[in-house]
Amino acid sequence: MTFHVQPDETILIKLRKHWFVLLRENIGILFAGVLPIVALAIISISDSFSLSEIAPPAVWTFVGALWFLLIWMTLLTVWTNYYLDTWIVTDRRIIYIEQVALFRRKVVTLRIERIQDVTDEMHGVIETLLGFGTLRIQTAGPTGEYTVIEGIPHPDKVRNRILDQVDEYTEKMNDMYNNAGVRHDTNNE
Amino acid sequence: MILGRGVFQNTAASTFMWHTIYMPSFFIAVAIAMTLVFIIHILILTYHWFRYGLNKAVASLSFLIYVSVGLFLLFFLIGASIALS
Repeated sequence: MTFHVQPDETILIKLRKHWFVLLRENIGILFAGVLPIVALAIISISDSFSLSEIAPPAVWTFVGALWFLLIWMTLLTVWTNYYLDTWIVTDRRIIYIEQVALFRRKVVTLRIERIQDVTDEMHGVIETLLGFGTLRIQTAGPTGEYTVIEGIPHPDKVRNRILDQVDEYTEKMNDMYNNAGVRHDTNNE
Repeated sequence: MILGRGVFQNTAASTFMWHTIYMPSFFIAVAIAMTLVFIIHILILTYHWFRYGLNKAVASLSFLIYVSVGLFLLFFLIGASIALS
């Protein structure tokens, strides 16, 4: 793991990208994997010529095994990038871990007290029906930076949970300051 | 024209014939290269799964599935390259 939860810190949500995002990224590779099987099936059905006329069976086995091995390795690489993208919401911060590529990793930590606004978006029929979308988190600062998290499942629920946590944290801090103020006044009297 | 050990290209042939470009060492070389690439790839992925993954059980299962399918395909690749050599 690339983050450490403090002893008194509670993990509220652990999230991963929606499964459709994985399917969307793999659809081209799956298509490339299935295409030779379909092509060979069509060739073997047609009576015009047989595969053994073009090359011996061992060559076809070699080419097929090589092709499927490359497809398999690509699928696993894409799956690894998907699997290692994680969002963790704790009662103090949001940790956003993005595996951009095999040797490119990004970890963003947003402190709850710095969160200003959270927006969720669902674009199109697929995102609406399957219930996933984009979450935009604005943090305090001179530039008012947005952290954009795409392909998140149920972004509306996640937004509500984050905002609840922000409110809870703000109330806790207000209570703490008020109590400290009362004690300060009492001491002055 | 000599293309491999004991293999000659029949330049006079009008139609394409597979055995005219057949090079025994080529298939073996590709099989060895793919085996090495597969081993390096699995080492990198396994490192990522166990180092950055949140669940060791998922990492272990991924490793087993990847190795099983990969070895199955490598078996055919190496077998075919031996048959062709």
